Amino acid sequence: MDRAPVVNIALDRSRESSLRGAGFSAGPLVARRAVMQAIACLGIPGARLFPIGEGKPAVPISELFADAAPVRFIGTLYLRQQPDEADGRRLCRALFGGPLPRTAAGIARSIALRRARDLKTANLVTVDGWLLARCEAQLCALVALGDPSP
Amino acid sequence: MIEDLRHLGEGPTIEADLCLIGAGAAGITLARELIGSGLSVCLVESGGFEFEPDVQALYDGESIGLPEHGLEIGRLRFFGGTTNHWGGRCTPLSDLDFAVRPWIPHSGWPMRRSDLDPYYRRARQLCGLGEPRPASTVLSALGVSPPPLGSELRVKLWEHAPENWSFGRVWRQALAQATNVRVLLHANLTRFSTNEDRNHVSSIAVRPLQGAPREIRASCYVICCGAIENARMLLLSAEARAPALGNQHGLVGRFFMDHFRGRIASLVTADAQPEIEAIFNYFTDADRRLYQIGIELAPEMQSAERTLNGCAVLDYEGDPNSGVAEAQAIWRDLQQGKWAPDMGEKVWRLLRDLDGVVAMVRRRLSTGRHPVMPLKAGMIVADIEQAPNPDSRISLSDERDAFGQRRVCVDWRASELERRTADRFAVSIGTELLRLGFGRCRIEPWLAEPRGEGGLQLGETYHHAGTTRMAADPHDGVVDASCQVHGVENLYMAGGSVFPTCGHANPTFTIVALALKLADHLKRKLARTPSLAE
Repeated sequence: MDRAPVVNIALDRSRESSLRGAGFSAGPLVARRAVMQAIACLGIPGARLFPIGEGKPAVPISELFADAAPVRFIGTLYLRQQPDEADGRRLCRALFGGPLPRTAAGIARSIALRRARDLKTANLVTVDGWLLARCEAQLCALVALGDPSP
Repeated sequence: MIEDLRHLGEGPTIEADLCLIGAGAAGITLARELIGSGLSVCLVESGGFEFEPDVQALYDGESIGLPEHGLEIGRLRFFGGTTNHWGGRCTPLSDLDFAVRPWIPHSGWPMRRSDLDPYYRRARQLCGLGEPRPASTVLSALGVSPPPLGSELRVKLWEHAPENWSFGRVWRQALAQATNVRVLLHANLTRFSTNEDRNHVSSIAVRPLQGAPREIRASCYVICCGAIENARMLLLSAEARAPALGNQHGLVGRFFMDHFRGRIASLVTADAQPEIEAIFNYFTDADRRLYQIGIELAPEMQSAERTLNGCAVLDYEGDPNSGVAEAQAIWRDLQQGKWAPDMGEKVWRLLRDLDGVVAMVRRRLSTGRHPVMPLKAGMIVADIEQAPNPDSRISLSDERDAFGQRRVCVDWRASELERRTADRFAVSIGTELLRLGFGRCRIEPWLAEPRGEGGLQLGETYHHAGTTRMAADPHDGVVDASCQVHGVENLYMAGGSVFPTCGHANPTFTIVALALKLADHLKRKLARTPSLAE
């Protein structure tokens, strides 16, 4: 199996720049807390991705998370590292094979499949050391970009 | 027969077919194996039956490289040697550990794993293990269903020797009763005498810290003093116009290795008492044998990613406020005859979590699993193989010990390969645990530093090895495949010092297996040699 290189995102690189757009002005300690909160939002595979709203409509996507600000924060960090992915429709195609699914359950199903594939092929991102499947980081990026136009 | 050199006084040269220097795992294994062999064996040991500070101080030295506290606290200098504080974890080296791995300079043993397999089987008795059983049988008996790990990792099952399995304590009586084995306590090797060509050791001098020295003359000699002291003993044999025994190519003391141990990742789990803890943990079977289950790097992964070997266990951090934690604290206090001033509060906290305590007791009784407090967090703790490195070495310092002999100087060094192995291993484990739904890992940030700027933030394990490494060619090693020092026909080395590479396995089991192999070799060799003792 060919390993894709792991994308490493270290927090100290974000120290000097403001991430107010993501809801945080990032000192390293605040940033670390945000990452941990986002990790909690993403949950553990096997557990529900959106424990508060599986039957909810999926738009706006940020409302599916218990707290979207830290998710947005990770997404912003990821996009800074991967600027060519800063396109909502392109991210949707990568994650869902087309437009954003209409319900939270649809998103969760697609992400679970993508996550299994990413983990099998070691398509990974680390944020401050936390290991994420690439699709999880891309989902955060989608939240950071705001809802894509249909 | 066991004697104390301090009480023997002056006397004639002691003669034996075989002189073993050092009564640790290797020396005691050799002596025990030769009981009733018809060969006269003299086993000399620097210490007595108990720890003595002035004897232990003979081990003092300096560490000038990575911190190697094992120099002083990792080794024990009395009968039984370092097995007097042995953790007891037993596992053989793997097939790949013996092979030449092109991506690891200086790798490869002059033997295969299959050459050592018969001796691994015999080593089980020495180490207090039961009859060998396939891992799948053991796991089934323990009621553990390991998860299907991906191709990069394998579930690792370790067996443990019974608690406090000191070779000195366990085999002392057998040696005391043996008519062909003479154990000399408080006997320190202070000098080799050789023939003019220095290819034959004619005798050695031993002496206690207080008392008269004695000469021992034997057909063969085996130095079994541990990897650091083995190298020191050879280096001390240098004379004004002659290199140290076995050091004609300057290899004695080089390639010093230890396993690198430490946290490579942390784990957060989805619930308080996760499934993972029921798999990666300690277990006791119906015969009260202890096992541990962890994870190791698959050989295919090592080859594909050009890494070293490595293994890992999960170390759980329990919730100190749980009822189980209180029950454990109360039990410890009562065992020590203490009555804590806050005992009432402790009992109250235990009662408030009675369900959890009862569940844990039931689990312990029905499955033999060790009690674990409700989980706060987990740590992934790895043992990483060290790559052979000629610059990681033992030399002699300018300080002198009580006999006026130069002390040891350890310069322990790591390379980028160990850090890269730890990084790959951490990512593989984190990925698998995430895939299996066990939890999410945070890789230690220093592992992800570009170009290894974070250094190698792992510590030592006191698994010293490599300083008189084994190689078929004298240009590549100090001893040959039979453990004979190249160029010295009757001098042998035993112990971790002969390991060319060290895999991830704790070394004692392999030390014992190699000592058994050496015992067979010496029986054959000495059967052809006229006995000095007659």
